Amino acid sequence: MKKIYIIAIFTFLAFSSCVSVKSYQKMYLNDEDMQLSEKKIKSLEGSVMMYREGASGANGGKNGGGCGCN
Amino acid sequence: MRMQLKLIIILAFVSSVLYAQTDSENAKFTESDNDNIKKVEIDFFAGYYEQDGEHSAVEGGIGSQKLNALESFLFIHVVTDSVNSFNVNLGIDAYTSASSDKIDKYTSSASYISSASSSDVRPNFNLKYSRKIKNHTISPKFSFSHEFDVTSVSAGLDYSFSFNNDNTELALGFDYFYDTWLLIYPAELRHRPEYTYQGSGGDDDRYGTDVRKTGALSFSYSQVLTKRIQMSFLLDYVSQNGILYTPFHRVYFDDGIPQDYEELKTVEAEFLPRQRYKVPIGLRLNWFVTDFMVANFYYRYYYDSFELYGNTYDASLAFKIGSSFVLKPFYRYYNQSASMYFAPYGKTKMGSEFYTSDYDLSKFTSQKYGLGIKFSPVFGIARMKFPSKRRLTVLKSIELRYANYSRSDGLNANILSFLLSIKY
Repeated sequence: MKKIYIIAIFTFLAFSSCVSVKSYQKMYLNDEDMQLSEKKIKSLEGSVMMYREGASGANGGKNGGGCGCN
Repeated sequence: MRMQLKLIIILAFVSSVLYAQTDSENAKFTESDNDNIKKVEIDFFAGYYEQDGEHSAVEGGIGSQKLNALESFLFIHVVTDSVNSFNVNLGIDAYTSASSDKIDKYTSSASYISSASSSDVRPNFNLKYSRKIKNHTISPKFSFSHEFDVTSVSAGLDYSFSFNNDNTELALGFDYFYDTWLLIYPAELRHRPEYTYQGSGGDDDRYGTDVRKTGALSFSYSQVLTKRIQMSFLLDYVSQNGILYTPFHRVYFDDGIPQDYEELKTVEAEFLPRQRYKVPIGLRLNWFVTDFMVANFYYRYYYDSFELYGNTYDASLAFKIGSSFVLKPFYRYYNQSASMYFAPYGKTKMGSEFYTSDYDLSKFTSQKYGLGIKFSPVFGIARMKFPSKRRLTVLKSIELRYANYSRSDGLNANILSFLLSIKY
């Protein structure tokens, strides 16, 4: 649980130092490789990880329901 | 003390969000801004997977894990106007498995008999509708899939809210899965009362059923940090009830009988608690390092009530070569502790209440590395006026990706993925 708090504190510190970027300044942020969602090309790899590992979730995908997985 | 610390963290979170907000240039978007934007994006995905190892759960933690699978998906994204859109995913998987073929391995003394589970085809379907109202987006969704032993239906709802000139986004999601499992036990156990099939007669095609219910709550906080960096924090809470084990997985007990006399060993079907909760927490950071290189980082911490802990570290780079090609090397490292119910072949203590010899729940580390390449010219690979002369269909990009996955327990796999994108 200590790790959870460390991650949360780091996240809050990082977020509190951000700036507001205007729409016309987002040429880098709008790039396809900069998107925060999981890439479709990794669909099969994501499924494999769900079946072959105990951990799942926190990546926009399934969390253990809907499949014959762990 | 712990409650106070939690409260401090919550307050710090709220204050940092408020501090990061500004009033400049909020997106001006109303329901009446309907400029008849209509587009269709279609992604066709195909993948091949092969694995091998020596710890098949069907045989109690030993034996071949050889498996080959083909997976294909059609992702269809339709934007009907500036507030409504649909996502439809249609998929089909096909696999053959040497270990699944061993469910009935003692049916005759001389040979193994292939069961229906030695190969399977799994169709699946997902539908999601999104409606955007100012800075809020609501998305109900539905999915269905069917494997030879699991039929799944799910429904859910996603909600997101963006502010601070779309530099910040909060999202909440809820999914509910209702999975029906066929109770296909190993053949040598089916005569026992606790493993008896429902129905009558000796027809081995009749199986009992059980249900797994999964409720998953997800939260994400995405934030633009600079003109070149953005990150997200993801937190899920998953609660599962019902059958949480795989009926045809065997567990051999530590009864003093050697493996050479396996048919005489004490054996049961895998058995796990009927409740489980999971808490994964993830951090994602994307950084446009230079004008030709993007770096993606991901970390996840995982904990569940089976006492399984896991850490995932993922890094990938995207090198933009000219205006058309992108080269994407990547590396992923994962480690997990063993579930409290896991024991290797023949090591489960007699009298244990819950037990598994599935090495997917054992202690191991894994590595995944590989390379992807994407061809995506600025004006597309090919363009044609189709299906009407007034609209243009563009073959946007082709992407190929290879990954090698290996676990410290000897499992090794290769994954080849292909993605073709079309925009109409």
